[in-house]
Amino acid sequence: MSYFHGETPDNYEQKCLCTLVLDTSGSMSGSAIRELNRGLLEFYAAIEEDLIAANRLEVSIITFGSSIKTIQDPALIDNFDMPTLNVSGTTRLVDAVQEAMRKTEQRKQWYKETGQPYYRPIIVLITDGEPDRDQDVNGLSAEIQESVNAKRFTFWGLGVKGFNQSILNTICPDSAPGIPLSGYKFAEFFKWLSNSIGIITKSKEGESIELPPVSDWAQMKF
Amino acid sequence: MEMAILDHKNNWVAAYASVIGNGHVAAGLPCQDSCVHQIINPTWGVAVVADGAGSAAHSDIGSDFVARNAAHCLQEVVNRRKWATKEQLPEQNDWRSEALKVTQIVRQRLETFVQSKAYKSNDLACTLLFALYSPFGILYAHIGDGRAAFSTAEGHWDALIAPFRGDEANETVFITSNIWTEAGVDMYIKTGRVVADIRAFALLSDGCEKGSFEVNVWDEENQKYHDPNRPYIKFFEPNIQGMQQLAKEQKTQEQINEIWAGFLRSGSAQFKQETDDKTMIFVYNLTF
Repeated sequence: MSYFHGETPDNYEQKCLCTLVLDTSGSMSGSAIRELNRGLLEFYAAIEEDLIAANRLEVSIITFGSSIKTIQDPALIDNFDMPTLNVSGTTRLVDAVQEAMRKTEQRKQWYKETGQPYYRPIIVLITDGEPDRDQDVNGLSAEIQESVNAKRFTFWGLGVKGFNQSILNTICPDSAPGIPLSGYKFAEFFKWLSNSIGIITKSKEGESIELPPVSDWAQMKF
Repeated sequence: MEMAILDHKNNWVAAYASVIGNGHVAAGLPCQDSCVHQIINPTWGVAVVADGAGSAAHSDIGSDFVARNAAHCLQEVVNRRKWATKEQLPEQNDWRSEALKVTQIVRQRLETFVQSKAYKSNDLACTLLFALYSPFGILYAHIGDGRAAFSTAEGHWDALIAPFRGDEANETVFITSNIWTEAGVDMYIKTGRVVADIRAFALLSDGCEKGSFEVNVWDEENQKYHDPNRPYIKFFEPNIQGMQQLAKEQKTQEQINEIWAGFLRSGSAQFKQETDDKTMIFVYNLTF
């Protein structure tokens, strides 16, 4: 016999913004872009299966080659189809990450203005190359470090075969050094990312969040 | 065995449970919520909810420790101050002073425990929400988030506390946070009392709030979302009927809690989906 029949109120879900900043420069052609596209689709599917994450996670996608393109403004995955990325051009990495930071701040302001509770946004950079010479890596590094310290967002950098570990480490905050991707295991990385988002979207603030262990998609543990 | 039935010894029936959330199951985490309910005497009781921080390594141990110690200290206060023999609730200042002492003692005991086990304080981070209830009303206090509701008449429910929330949705303060200064205590340790004939009340962790409170709804007038912190009457009233029925059937406390835990686990679509751990202590005054 069932004793309790309390009904459920209508509440909107809080939001978690994840901005993917993806390298689509010429060097990503072939297996790299093919596997990245496959990984994005698997990421989409994993979020779609997780009812809570699907209602909370807003995905935004910015690509960079010779130009910076916002190919997806922040949206719940129900509201868009994952695009297929093409490659071309050089590596305006710094401009792209700065665009992601600017848009992240804008979205946060919008959450605040509209009274929507939100989790700390996440920016994920995926790159295989060195930024163009005119790109101010040290300036970006300082901006990211300062923002991460101020808890404006969480930043993860993923290096794809051929990337420059030293530059990626310069860009990434001390708390989360650049992660070298093993082969083209984007699918495994995105599975980890979706699991991590699942945990973040239910966590409470503290010193550090216990994320799932980085496994075979990374070349080394961190 | 503690009996929950109505007799000349006990006017209240309580249901309480902490159940693990789906997210914790998936991530291999333990249930980090804890709750304690104790009958102090036929008319007074204590209820405590502690919600362990998801980011803290051993917050399941922390919340259990804090909930048990807080309940024990509160019971001691009632006995030492002989509150149960008086015909009224203590004054607000008196209550705040005792409630702050309780939180400080619990914090100190936690520190001793931390050191004996070679943990770090933050490993045991948890929120704390407690209430003493009596024929003259409720005394309550809290650190951090969670919700609480009370009713003085059928169909009327009010929020007892306003949860502390930071800018981010998952941000709050814990008993282990750096709040133990005069200003910090004023800002983060909230206390209060309701002087009234209490018909029912509930204390809950934030894992239960979306299933029982209106916490994030569209405000037509201001064209934005807001948190009205409003107990959902259609949640609480039908559950009172359940409490009445369980008391009528003279279920033991263990049986009631088992049924209640089942309800918190999967009694509604929201509870079924919830990733966070869920705790609710629901107490009904059978003399109403």
